[in-house]
Amino acid sequence: MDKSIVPYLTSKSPFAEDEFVPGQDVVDAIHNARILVLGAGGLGCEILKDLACSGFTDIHVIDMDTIDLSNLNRQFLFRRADIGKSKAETAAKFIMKRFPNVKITPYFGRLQDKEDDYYRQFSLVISGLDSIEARRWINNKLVQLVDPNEFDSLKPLIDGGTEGFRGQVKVIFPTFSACYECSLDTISGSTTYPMCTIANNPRLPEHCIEYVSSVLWKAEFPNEKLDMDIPQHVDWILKYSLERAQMFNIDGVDRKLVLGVVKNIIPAIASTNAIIAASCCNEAFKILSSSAPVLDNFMMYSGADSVFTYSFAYERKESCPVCGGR
Amino acid sequence: MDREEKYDRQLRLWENQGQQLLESARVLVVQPTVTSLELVKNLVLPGVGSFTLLDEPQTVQSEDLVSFYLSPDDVGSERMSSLVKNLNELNEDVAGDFHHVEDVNVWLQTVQPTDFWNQYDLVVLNWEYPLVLEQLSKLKIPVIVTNTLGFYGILRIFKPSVEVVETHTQGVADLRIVNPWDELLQYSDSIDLESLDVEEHAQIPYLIIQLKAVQAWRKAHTQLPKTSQEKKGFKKMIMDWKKDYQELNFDEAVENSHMIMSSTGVPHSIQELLQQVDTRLEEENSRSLFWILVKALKAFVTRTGVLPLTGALPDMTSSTGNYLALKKIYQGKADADRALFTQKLDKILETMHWNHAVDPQTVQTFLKNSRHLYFSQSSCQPLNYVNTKIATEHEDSKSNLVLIGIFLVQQYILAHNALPTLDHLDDLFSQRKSLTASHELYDVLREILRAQGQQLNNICSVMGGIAGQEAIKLVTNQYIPVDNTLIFDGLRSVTERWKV
Ligand SMILES: [Zn+2]
Repeated sequence: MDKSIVPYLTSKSPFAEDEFVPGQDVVDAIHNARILVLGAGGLGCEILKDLACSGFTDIHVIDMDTIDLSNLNRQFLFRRADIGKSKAETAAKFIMKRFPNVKITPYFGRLQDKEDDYYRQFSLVISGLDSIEARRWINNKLVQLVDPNEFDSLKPLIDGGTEGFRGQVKVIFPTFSACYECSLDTISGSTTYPMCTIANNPRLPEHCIEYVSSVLWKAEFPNEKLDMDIPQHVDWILKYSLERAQMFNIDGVDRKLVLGVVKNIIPAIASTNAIIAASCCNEAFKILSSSAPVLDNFMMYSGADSVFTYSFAYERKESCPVCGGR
Repeated sequence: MDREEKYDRQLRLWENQGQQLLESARVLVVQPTVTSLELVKNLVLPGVGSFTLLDEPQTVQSEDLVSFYLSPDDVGSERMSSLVKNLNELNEDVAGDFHHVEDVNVWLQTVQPTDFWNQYDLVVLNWEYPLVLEQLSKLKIPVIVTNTLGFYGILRIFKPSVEVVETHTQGVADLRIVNPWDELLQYSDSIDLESLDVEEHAQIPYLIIQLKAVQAWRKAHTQLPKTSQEKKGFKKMIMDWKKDYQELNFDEAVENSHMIMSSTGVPHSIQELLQQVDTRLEEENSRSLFWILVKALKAFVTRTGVLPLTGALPDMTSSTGNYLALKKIYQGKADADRALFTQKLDKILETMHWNHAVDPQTVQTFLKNSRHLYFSQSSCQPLNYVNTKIATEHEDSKSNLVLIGIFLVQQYILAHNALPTLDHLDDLFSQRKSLTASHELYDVLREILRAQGQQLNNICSVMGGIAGQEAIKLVTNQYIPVDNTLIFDGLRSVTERWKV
């Protein structure tokens, strides 16, 4: 059992709510809470470490991905020898070896594979996903699970996200505070180019690549899905993007850009993941112990120009298609 | 290839130039804590050159497995060597080692040989040990001091002067719409909007439309649009030129019209640099390439009145041909500006008897960023009653009290080599002297002391993350670092900064 949390839960913070009663019960509440972690990637590895170091002992983790070489600059539970293995299973094994008293239950697959009863067993969900669609799915699921007559049906969702030196933490109490969907218009999706630009008036190397990957590939290989993890596919896209760029006198197409555009690569570093993951786990610790005030409800972080954080209460939207009217 | 793939996600941020500097950086961590070990992890993963942990030899006990980087297998082994072994495992490209000292508290209060310090490019400390800071300040070796107390974390950066070319600051580019050069004007004049058919009309880049709009406006007005009424009129004039309501290029010309005016001239921050360049060069004994480049920039600005053009052109609705023609004109001007800058630079280097040429890539990078250069000086003083009071007396915030609280606790630690306990609460509170009249400081101190020396892993990870990020900025000399003090308050989930 991790003793570092004990004084924080057996004594009372001057800033805690009046109702908070410190004691061993609170320590037990942390030990016994069942936590679901979504994603075992850059954020997920950090989240699993932070939870295990903060006294949580019953953690489940879901990830459908396998380990890739380009993960190793931040996903520190993985080694070169692990390339190709399941992220969830490898991460779980690593943490359990380090903390023999912590149980991690991995699931190598999709969130959508699991039934409602699976999600009902958790005290809290922390998401370190990079896909907007998967986050919308779990957000919707947790809103649907809320039964106004049953307090335990409310599963707080803490959502972390990073991009380069920036990141954000969202604390969501489904149906009580702004949900992920409520804030969807604040999220910038991937760049898309108008078809007339990429087809008729390409100006940037990105336009050439986009045309080759979205138009030419489909025309040439109607029955084969483009997979940028297959080197031959990358080579083909690169070759024809270069050809098209040359045709229009456009400079700047290379392999790195081709991968960046087609895979929609978002820069990622260990430090930002560490900051955002630990902030998520700090909020989880405060929510489940009630020992200190909880973030209300969003925090934006930027480390690109000095260090800047902005915390604010994002309002629930009455018109939200997921939680509005509930 | 393998290396590029492994580091792909970070190379897209600081590129090869930054990566090379990171890979040659040597970092010393004195008396590693949970926080500073997290910092080390955040440097090992992206491929720092080397790290050295310095502490007394000690055996790992099962109850002190607080750091993630010690495992049950390490119980009974030597602590530093176990940590180095486990951290090295995170990246086979990184060489970690350790340095044992007999008594770390004695060591921190002893002058070390210059040769020892010169092995490192960055030193990480847990508290502001005055003698160490003094030695490193003389040697101009940057220091990060970081630690956590309860839900609070502190980070201080000691670097006498920070000069950054690649700040990655996002700002508006000066596209010279209000003060175009001859070639650009000639090109714009060669296009007659009236005579174009609708299809061609819709393929004219918005910069050309703006150039023509400024020209037309000047015929009727003595100055560019300033009041909101005038700006409205300017936009309406552009909209009236549309031949078809769907023309995106005219919409873009209007949407981006505020940038025509806001982006001209030499920004205030750059003017300040130009003003102090001669003083700086005297201080630095003419050895600073940054300031020599700034001096050449000053000569350039004196001659032309503007900063060199970068040649970058934002994407805009246009036919490929029109866009590339415009791009060629911008690139041509950027090349000419670079030639003039290089000429000024060569002259300066000659008069300074600087005996090695400046790499053209360095010049290129400097010019690309000449609008966003960053410079700051710091006193490098540890926190004391005077500077803490000055830093915290202006703004009214809760974090001021956290900084004061941490300062008082640090005073105690430096004096006693031990953490204070709740028994010292009243005593510490009475030490506040004139720092603050607020009684809430008592609560902040109580919050710190109730931790009984136990650190929260989450707060350590946040601070290790921020400190790791700042270390990367310092060693790659890219992005703007914290200047110079930061507090993270994990109770309210906020950070706050001070220049002490
Ligand atoms: Zn909603």
